[in-house]
Amino acid sequence: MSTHPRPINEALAILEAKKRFASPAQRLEHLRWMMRGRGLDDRLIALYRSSLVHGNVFTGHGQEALSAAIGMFLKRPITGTPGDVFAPLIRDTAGRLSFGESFEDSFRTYLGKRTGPMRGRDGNIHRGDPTRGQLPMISHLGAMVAAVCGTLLARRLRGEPKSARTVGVTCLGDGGMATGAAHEGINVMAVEKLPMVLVVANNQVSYSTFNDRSFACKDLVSRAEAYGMRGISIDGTDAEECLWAVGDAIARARNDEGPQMVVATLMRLQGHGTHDDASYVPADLRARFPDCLEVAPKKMITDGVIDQAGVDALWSAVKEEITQAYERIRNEPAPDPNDEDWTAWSSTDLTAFRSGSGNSGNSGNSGNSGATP
Amino acid sequence: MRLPVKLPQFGESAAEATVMAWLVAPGTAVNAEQELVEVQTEKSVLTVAAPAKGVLVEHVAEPGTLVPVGGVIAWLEVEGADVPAGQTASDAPPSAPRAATPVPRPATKRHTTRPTGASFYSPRVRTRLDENGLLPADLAAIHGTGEGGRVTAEDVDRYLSEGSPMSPMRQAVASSMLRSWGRPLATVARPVRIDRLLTHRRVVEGRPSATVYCLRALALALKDDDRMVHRVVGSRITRPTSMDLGVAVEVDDGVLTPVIRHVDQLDLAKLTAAVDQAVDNARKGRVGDIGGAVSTITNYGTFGLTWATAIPQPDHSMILGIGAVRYVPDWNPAEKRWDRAREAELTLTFDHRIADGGAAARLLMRVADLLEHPERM
Amino acid sequence: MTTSYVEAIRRALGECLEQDPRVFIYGQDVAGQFGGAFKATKGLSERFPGRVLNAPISEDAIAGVAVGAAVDGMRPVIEYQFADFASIGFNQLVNHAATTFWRTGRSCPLVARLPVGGTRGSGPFHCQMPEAWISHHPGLIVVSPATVPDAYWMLKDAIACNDPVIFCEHKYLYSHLKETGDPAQAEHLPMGSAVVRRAGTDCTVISYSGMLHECLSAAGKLEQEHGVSVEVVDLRCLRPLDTATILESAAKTGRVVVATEAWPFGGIAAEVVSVISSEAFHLLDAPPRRICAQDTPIPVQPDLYAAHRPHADDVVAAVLDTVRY
Repeated sequence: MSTHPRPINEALAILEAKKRFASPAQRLEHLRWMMRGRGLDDRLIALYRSSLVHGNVFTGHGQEALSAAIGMFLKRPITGTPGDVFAPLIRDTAGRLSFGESFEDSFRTYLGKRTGPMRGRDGNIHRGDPTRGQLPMISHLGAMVAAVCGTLLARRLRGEPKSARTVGVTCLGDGGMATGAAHEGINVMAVEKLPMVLVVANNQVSYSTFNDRSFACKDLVSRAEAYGMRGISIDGTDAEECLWAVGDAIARARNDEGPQMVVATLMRLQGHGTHDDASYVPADLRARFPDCLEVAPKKMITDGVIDQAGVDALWSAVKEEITQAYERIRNEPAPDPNDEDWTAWSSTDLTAFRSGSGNSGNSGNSGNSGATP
Repeated sequence: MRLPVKLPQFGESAAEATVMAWLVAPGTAVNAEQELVEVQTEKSVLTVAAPAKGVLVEHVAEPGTLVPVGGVIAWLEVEGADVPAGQTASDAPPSAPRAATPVPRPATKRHTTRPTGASFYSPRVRTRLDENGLLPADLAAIHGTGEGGRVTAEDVDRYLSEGSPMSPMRQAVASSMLRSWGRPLATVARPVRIDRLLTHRRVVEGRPSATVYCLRALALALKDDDRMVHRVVGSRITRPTSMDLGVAVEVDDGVLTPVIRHVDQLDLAKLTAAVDQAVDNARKGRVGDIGGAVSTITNYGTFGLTWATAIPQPDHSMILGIGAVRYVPDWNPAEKRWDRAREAELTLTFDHRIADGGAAARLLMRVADLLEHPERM
Repeated sequence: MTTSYVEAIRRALGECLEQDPRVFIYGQDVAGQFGGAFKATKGLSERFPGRVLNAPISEDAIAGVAVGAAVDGMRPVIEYQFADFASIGFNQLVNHAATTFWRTGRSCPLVARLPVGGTRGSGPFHCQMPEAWISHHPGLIVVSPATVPDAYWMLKDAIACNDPVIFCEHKYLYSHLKETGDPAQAEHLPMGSAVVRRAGTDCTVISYSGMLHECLSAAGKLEQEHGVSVEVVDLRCLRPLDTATILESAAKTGRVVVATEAWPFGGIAAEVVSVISSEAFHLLDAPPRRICAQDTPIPVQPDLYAAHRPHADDVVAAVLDTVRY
């Protein structure tokens, strides 16, 4: 259910967007990604409770509809062409999967495997393979906005053609929108007119802090206009709305219509992390929001897109996928501390390094040439 | 008085400016803060104003001149009363340098005495001493030229450059003796009558020397009880496997100790031949078979010494020495008269960790007994 | 021909823009006719249109943009107007740029140029030396040229280096330090090497950046007026430190004074003294000493300012004290 009525021209535009971005096939694919996100999160919680996970688990329960839509409309890299860039946040399990991250890499990171993208050096949601357009977040909320701006600026400076326009997406919550870094990043995004979408998930609570202590404006979407970009406010529990709104925003960004902000209202269905029971969330607040993974299948059955047997089959298939992925990696090795060179620089000997002399004095990555698979 | 008009510091890092245009001609009266001249820095065009009320008497820098910050661009003639306060003071360089070194707040009085003087050896000096194998005992001989008589590294170098280098032989002996000395060494002695030995030797092939008799006597005496040639290794004891003994031979600048193997199995004649050969080789510098001996014999009597506390080799627990022969009075109770006898002193220096005086005494007694009854050897 | 320190920087930037299409400049007031608060980028945006970009007053985003661009294959050179403002970008530099290679295996080749050091009257927020807090986190390289050739060569090296480099340019030296000769013809020392600027035997003085020149002046005085032969070492690269050169000089003279314009607590001087104390203890004739600024924010009034920072005479006094230990 939308949070405010829309004018007629907008309603027409929405119909158009639904046709383009929320077709039955897309809705089915969307549902599958949502289920995969939920299934993976539930499996990670189970692993946490068995003490197999290093550190805490942060899940995206309640935000799957919004997050899964992102990855569906972003281009993954293919040989010779860098894809789009996505800096997911804490609750973007579904979006990471739909953008191309494997179940295995999620498990590997949480289990601290040497074979994961972070090789045991960082964990939980601080993960991503930059060569595949996935920027691994740092803990400081808002910092990734400018980083995505930087990657998009790099593509622009290299002169990518309009037909191969890179789009960048990052996410923030109601709490993250308060940081100075967020402000600076969003402002730069607007000033540079980057092909970028900021997806804001207002899930009502930032750890234990409710909206009234995080911001004073009526709706965070008002900031979009203030910054100089197009913004839209949607119901984050409505899968179809998430699908067309996110798809539309990404398409507009790709079409040089400038930066976009999508603000979704939804509810964080679990605690801040598995270590938190969220007992501070009042029951009446919680009751105001449905679970997108209960609502979406029901609506799709009503719309004739799928039947109950189909929904059950999807869940079974997803659970099987996840189980097999976990089995594949569970015995992979942890990093060996004796094998560490304990250096944070890629350069090996700066007392032998001079520019232009042919020697780079550097080990490891010999310079980035743009994200290619 | 004449007051200089100087180019001020514009902005943080400008070092100079170019004079563009004078706004006031020489000879004109001006008020304080009146604009006098336009100058251009890298960033912009600015004006310089009069520091005081007076008459602009002279342009120093003409348009187009590049002037450094603080440089004089004009002179102003000013009445005494109009000279700005503190004018000259602010031009002076900062007064006496203060200690910029951070002084930690002293927590206690403990560390307020600084070691100085001749008894202080800095880490660097200690390293120099170690590198050159100097001992604390040597330090007293080094003259210190540092603060309060401290020995400096240069003093050490100067000291070491005196004299001439030790020969390798001398260094080897010095090192060996120093290492040996690290043990608690004790010496016991007893006299031995050698008249019968001196008679006995005439009928043995090769006419064995006292040294040979001592070798044989020691080997046989040790066979009865070899504890005097056990060795301490840490907190363990090693035992000898064969009765190999060394003979101390004086050579140029040092001592060699060639080893005779299985002395207990060689009779006096064979032993004499072996010792002669070994000594001869040693004197010719042919070191030959060394190492593995359980003890050494040293005959310092040949130098005329009656008594000596020899130092065993670092890998031996004892050394047996024999001194010069002397005539001593010998009371003959049967004849109630004084006869004379020939006597030499036997000394045994040993590592007191491995044995005590009693064991040493008993070994000496067995050795002396054999020497006084040479037919048993 | 004479070249000033800032001219050398401008020249290096221009050459890198010309030779490497991955290089671009991003910072406040760098573009257009203004060409930077200290004119370091003057003329560059005209020569290289679209590659010298003005940023908003957003030190965090400036660094964040640089990280995102560097990870994607560019060589961004960001300019902070004063090193003192880099503290706002601190998080992106130490938690994002510095951790990227260790966490992801992918390097982050950005350069952040920081105008450091004091000029009279500029006060607490325009004079700071940030090496201590920017060096503490592992993953950044921090360099500090003190001469005109080093301003030129070390900037080119920093841009060519695959790791994030914090380039500390001393703002007083910008126009006050000029050297004759073409810096491109001067010796090109490796970026990570310290260098002995003046050989000596009685005491080593270690320094960097603007303070180096005070130390060289002090060394001259010590020789002429006191007959003390001082060896002056220019650190050049602060992180990582060239410990081999430092220890070699300490071994040679046995006495060390470290002089910096920065504050004492946890600074580069403290680090150098720590290295010497633990690795060269057995070679010392006297305890190593530090000369640093007073442990307060930097004052405005000129007499206070002058008394706040070390000068050549302070170095002379410390050396004399050390050689008499």
